[in-house]
Amino acid sequence: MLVHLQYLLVGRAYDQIRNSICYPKLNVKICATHAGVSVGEDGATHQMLEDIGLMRGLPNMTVLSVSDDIQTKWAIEQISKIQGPVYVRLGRLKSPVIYEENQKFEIGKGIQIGEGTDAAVIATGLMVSEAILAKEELEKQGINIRVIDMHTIKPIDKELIVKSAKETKRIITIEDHSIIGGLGSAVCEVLSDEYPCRVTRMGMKDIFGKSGKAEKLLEYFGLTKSAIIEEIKR
Amino acid sequence: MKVTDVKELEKLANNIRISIIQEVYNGKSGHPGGSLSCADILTVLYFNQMNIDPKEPKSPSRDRFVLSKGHGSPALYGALAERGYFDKKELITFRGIDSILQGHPDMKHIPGVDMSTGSLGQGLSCANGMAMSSKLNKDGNRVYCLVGDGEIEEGQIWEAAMSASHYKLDNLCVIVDNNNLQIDGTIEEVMSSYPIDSKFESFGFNVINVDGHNIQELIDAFNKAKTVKGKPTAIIAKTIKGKGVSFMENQVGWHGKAPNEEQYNIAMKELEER
Repeated sequence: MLVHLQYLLVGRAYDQIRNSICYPKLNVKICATHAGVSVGEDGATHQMLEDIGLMRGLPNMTVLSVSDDIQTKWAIEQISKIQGPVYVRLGRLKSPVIYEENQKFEIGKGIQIGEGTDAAVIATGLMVSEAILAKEELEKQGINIRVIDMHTIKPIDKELIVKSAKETKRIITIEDHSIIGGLGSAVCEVLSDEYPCRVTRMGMKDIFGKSGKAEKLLEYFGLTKSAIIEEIKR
Repeated sequence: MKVTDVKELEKLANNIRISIIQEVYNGKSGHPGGSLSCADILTVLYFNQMNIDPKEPKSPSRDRFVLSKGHGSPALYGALAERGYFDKKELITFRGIDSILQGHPDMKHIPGVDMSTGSLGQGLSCANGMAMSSKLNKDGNRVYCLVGDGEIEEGQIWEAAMSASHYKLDNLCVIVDNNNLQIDGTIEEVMSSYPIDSKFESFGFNVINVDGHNIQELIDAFNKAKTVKGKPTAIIAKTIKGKGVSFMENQVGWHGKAPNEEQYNIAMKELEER
């Protein structure tokens, strides 16, 4: 198992991962931290915004992006039981615990939180807890949405994406990652094949991050529950 | 503006150390240890050696400096402000959301920064390019590149070293900030880059060993480097991580941590009394 910073492990070693891990389909697990602008003060060089795109484009690779402590423990244990290359995207910021200890997860199966049909927010990593907060606040205002925790980016849960699109007709994706190549792109690929509809991709809009307190940066770049609420009401 | 008086240069180095502590304290984040260790090297470069003009930070004929160990940004920003590239008042905005002073050097926004760095191991390759371009254009300028002793564990550094010597870049001078500590411990514990001098020598460099806190030795080494033709120079500067602040010296824990108020006050008092 390789553990390091994303920009180094996934960025610098991309060719090695492609040709010496994925092509020979070796049983290597890559767990990398420093996801997204929530890295904070270190700034753009250390905030990895393209790793999901890089890793999910590789044949044989499984890509996970976990949202809380419970899910992280599950993921690390689970990947040791499967053969082949796996990439696990980890954040650096302290983040809220979402799940109970006994929560069941399965690789390739997203978690649907709520049954609302006004919109579906498909989120990953740190953004899942923000989406849940948005859902709770919207409920008080009579707007009922559902949140999908897409902890597996590849293989992605096509069935759940299509079902959500059919039932809500309004899909929003959110990730602390570039909107190019990440979760938003993966969801659009599924929907353009299976059930074309309008998707709003929230995330880093083809820009680098910058230095600042993590919370302030998330606000600055529109990666918060209020930004989600605003988008849904728009 | 060339400062030749050693006492005056020592005073400037101390000012830069004060700036480093102010930046990291106000930013509540950053890397004081490896910034303090290279303050004397930067002082000699910016006040005695480099052909630069703060009023013309983009002048094509200027000497270039690449801070390959980009986390030493507090030292670089301190030196640039001291030299007059921007107002010293900017320093306390370090790492803030509206600041030009990003956690790692950003050439797009900071006057005097010749290369954006932060991802370790890449700066020497960029410096090579600058040195080659200068030779092609016959600009006659020199290129300086400061690398860390932990940073040179990166393979790219040695590919760049091979190429610098292959292209006979005698206008290039690499300085190794050999403070013997990196984020996880001593260089020997983590991944020894020793012996540094004979490694560079066998890669075809002219090598000079100096005490990286001795201003006169640094001046002499940089002057000597200018006279060597046909090969690049590597100055191996033996330094102390955290130099100048007693409780930070040689302490690996001060690699990337900001002082609290009490520690800030002690550090400032020590530096102001020097």
